[in-house]
Amino acid sequence: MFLLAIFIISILVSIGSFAFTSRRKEYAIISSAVVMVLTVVYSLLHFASSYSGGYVSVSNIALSTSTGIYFSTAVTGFTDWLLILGTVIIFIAALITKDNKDSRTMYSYILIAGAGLYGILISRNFLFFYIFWEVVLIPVYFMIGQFGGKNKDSASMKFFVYTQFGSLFILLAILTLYNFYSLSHSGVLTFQMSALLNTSFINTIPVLWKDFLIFGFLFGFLVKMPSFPVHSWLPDSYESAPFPGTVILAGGLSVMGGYGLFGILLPVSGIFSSTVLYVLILLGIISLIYFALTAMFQQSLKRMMAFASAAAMGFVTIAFGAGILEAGTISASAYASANIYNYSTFYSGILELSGGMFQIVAHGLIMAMIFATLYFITEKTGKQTMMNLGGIFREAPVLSSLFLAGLLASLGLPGLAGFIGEFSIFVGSFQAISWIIFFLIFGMIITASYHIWAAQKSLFGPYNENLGKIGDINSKEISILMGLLIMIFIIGIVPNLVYVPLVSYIAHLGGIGAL
Amino acid sequence: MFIYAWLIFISPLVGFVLSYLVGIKYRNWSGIIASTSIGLSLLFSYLTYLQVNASGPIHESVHWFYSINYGIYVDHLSLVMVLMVSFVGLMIHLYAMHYMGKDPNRHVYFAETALFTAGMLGLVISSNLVFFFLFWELVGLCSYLLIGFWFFKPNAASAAKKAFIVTRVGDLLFLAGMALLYTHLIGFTGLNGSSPLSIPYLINNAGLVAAHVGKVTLGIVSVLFLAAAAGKSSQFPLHVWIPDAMEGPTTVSALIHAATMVTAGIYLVARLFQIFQASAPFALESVAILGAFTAVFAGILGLVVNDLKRILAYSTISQLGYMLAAIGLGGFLTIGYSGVAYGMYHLVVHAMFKALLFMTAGSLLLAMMELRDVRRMGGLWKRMPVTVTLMFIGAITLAAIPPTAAYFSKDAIIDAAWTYFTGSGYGFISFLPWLFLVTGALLTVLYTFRMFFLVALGKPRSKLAEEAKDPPLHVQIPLFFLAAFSLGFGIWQSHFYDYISPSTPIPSAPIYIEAIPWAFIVIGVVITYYLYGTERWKHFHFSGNPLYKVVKNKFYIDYLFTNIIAERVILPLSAAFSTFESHYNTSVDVVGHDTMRLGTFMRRIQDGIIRNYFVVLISGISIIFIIMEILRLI
Amino acid sequence: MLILLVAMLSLILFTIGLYGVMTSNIGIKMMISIEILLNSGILNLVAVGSYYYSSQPMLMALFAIAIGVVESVIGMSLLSAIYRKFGKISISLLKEIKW
Repeated sequence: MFLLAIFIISILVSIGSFAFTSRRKEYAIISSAVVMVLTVVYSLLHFASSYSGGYVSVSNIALSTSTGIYFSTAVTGFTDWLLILGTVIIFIAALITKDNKDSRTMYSYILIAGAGLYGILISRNFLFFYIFWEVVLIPVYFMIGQFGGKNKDSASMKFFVYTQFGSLFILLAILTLYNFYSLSHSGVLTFQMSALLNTSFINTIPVLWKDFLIFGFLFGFLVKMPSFPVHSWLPDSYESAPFPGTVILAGGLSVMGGYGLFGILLPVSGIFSSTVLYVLILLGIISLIYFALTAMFQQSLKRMMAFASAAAMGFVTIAFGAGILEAGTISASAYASANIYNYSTFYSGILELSGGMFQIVAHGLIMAMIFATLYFITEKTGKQTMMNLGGIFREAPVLSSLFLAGLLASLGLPGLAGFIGEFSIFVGSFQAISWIIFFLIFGMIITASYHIWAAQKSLFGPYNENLGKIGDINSKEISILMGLLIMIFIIGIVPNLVYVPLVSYIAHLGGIGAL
Repeated sequence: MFIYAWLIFISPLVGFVLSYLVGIKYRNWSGIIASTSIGLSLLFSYLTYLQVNASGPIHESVHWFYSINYGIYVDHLSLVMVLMVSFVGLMIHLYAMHYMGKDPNRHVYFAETALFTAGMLGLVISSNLVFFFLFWELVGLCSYLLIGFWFFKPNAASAAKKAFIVTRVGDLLFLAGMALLYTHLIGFTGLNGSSPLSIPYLINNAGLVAAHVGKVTLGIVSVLFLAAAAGKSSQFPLHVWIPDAMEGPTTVSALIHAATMVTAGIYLVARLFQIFQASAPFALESVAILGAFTAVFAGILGLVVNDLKRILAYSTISQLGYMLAAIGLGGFLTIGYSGVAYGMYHLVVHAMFKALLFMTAGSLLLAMMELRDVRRMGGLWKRMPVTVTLMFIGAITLAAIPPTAAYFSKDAIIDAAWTYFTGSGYGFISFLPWLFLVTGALLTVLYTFRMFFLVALGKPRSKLAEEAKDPPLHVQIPLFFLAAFSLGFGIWQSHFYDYISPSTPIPSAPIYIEAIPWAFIVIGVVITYYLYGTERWKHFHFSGNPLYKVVKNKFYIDYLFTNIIAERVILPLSAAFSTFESHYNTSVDVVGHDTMRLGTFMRRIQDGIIRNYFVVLISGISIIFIIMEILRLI
Repeated sequence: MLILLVAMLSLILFTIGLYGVMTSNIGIKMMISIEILLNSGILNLVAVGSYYYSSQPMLMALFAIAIGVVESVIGMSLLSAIYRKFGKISISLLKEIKW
């Protein structure tokens, strides 16, 4: 009930933002802060009561029982953390928006995107899932198209059409499920996820349609993440978007893709044949190495970090594929036992699956911090390519240290959030497939190289006198970045905060690979 | 009883935060706070020493995530390291308060060194390999920050980047070793509830682990850990970062690149010695060969450099090779765990005299305004008597001249290598360690005294050298401690050995073998005095000699990494991928453009003439009707 | 037999109307031809209704006549607007709505 209330609040504030003609910035910051605080408090209460039964705060509002449209919501351990991440991202995005006369609609876009993200994560009915999936796209399109940098028209159009194309396949897959469910259950029509996401039911669908179904979902989610072959919208959109838009893209939209994989497809992992899983793992490896190598050659810091973000999501794909591959041989009952976080018994696949989910959360926070810092750097210096920056540590030491901290978090320094996810995925996927480790090591070396190269070129070395005099950031901006850094640090030191809810989510999946 | 051990690394962590925050306003206090926190660590280490002597090793662990715990494990080996690190760290911090002088960023310096010391201390007493890895990387991070401390120097920034990336390669191999070990041990019933990567479990149950995992696999794990150690302790071929790392402040080089961080790799191998021992023989053999080879390799390179700090850097690499070789000699059964004792003794002694040497070099460089070329120094013994005398003590220790402590430690290792050779059946492979180590002894004497004579004797060869003066006496007090230690620590040789590994024999060899290092000392001093104590070295020009060129270019290893791998392989690969990416993106745009062109083409049907619309309408309807009729008739 | 003649009549009327709409350029002529088209259709409808003794087609025809009236009125008002703008009612003047 409480969850539904928070959700309705977030929708109302986003619509209400159009009513304010002045002081929209304060309104946006306060409302997104309110939603964030409510979500965090709500989630912390759940961590304490440790999620009995997998789903909590279930609500079903029947809108049309004959066609199976219910507005049903629920939250799992995994979704809780994504909600926290989403609301934090929206709050940060609202904070770093510049406040001038033209940017009033920007706040509304941010809030609407936040409401849409919220809806995706909590909805348990496929129709509303898809509706909110589309709702997030539209404000981001307007953000890029109205407030973007260079190439904003073509970049926003490309972003919209490309991701829309992917989402179309999701819609087709949902409708396939819908149709076959009614065929095999004597005409009962339903969009409910609890009914449609059922491994034994999906395995009864004719093979051709089942393959189409898997392809549809995977295509749509991989476009959002993004993964290698379907990533072309990424560089231009990230680079042309205004910085709040980039923060939402990096932190919010990749969450959508990751949630699709781990939230929608993981409960029905029994439907994947090992060929599909190997293809996924291969795509993940190619993504990691391809994006890392491409990032190394970029001159613009923003574009480089866009590729870094995509490379980190390659880890998530690898984790998903390797985890299901490994776990596929364990029966359903093994996972349903009471305490699978107890390490003395071995549960295959769980390390990399929870590592992948952890990586989604960590990656969102880290990318938010990096792009927020880049925003401040661009504000101070007016430049964002490495050639035009140089040695800014002398003039802006605090800003540079925070940027360095963000880069170190992104490359997986232990003690910060990036390490736990990468370590779990590294060790876990080695358990599944041993030859993967060479590619992972190569990818991680390249990642370390270009991050440190970026730091050295832009922060250290002699000061680039063309920049003139730049000032350091003030305490308000420091507090934004330090807040994010502290969150990243806490998650890195106490990973149990994230892992315990995740594990309770996996334990109640009804058994991975139940065939 | 209260476990003081946690406070050993928590105290410098608090010192890190405090010295930065206080130092923003009151710069001079940051050094004092940092030094106090390390002094407290020393105190806590001593208290822990008493506790462990009373009641045995301390082991506490807390669940971290999945099968990984974190915690502390303190036994004799870690105690020795912890006492050494905090003592040497304290000495260097006290000296650094003078060395950093009025540097405007000195609060950042002291914060970073405090953090570094926290990391090093935590690394030594951590009880799980993942927790160990956390501190390992933390130490690498501080090294990166401190090498690049004078960030406006492009050489420094570039050297820091190189250090980070080279050590990162080693770290990833460490991760791979951990992953391999974890994969084979998880689910093993013999674990009895402890984490598969728990250090006390691994070293106490090495045989069980080897039986379960398989000796060859365990050997591969060990070699991966050795590679990680090679990265951190700059052994061949990952040694390329240390010479460039000398761009940082000299006290950084003393702390990190002489006494503490580089010994972390050696400590890793020493800590996991039982695992190395229980795996296939090639594990410890590789340790010994790698260490001995690096000792010689770095010694050769140290002969041709003219940068004072780089000579010391190569000397460090060489001495670390000795320590690694000593541990590797433990592969021979009668030596066993004593190899660790020999190695650790040399590690502690080396930390003392190397810190002394670097800090006296620091005083020299302060006087020479950071001009590091030894060919521009000279005649400094008269002008900076205290400093150069201390340097002399350090130099004779480095050369292992009796009765300094290093004589006991280094010659013990060489004699142990001889025992290894004779005991393993006079094989070729087992001869190599002794051969390399003894050659290394000659090279050590040569480069040490070359450096010393060029610095100390003769006439000053630059204006700065003429006007050099000693620093005030009170800042040299830490150096006196270290000098006294270097001279006198030899007394405790057998006590030290027995503390690490009970009833360790002091190695001995036939007198004609033991005399070889002594002969080398004499020969070396004579040669270097002849060449460098007088003016004769100026008459020799080697630059045309091809052999000299090869050595001067560091055997082209650096060239391999920087020019070939980085510039000619990775960068073009990256450029290729990036070009492919932009073409790929453009192809997607092309789809969009083609669709728009199709649309532009198709819309010309709307030409605005109503008659044509009507004609199309009618003809369309008629065609549909005709088709329907035809279909109805079929 | 009779129904056949009426159907042929309606077909001829349809052809005349169609020809008139397709080939003329004068607005009034097009409106009258459209009326002829409409009436041919209605004629056919009534003939069928009387042949099959059913009243439904008659009802449809009444509706069609009413709608035809309305449609002529709209057409005439459009023509007067065109006349006001151009001074002529030549349909080939309306070329604005194109690509």
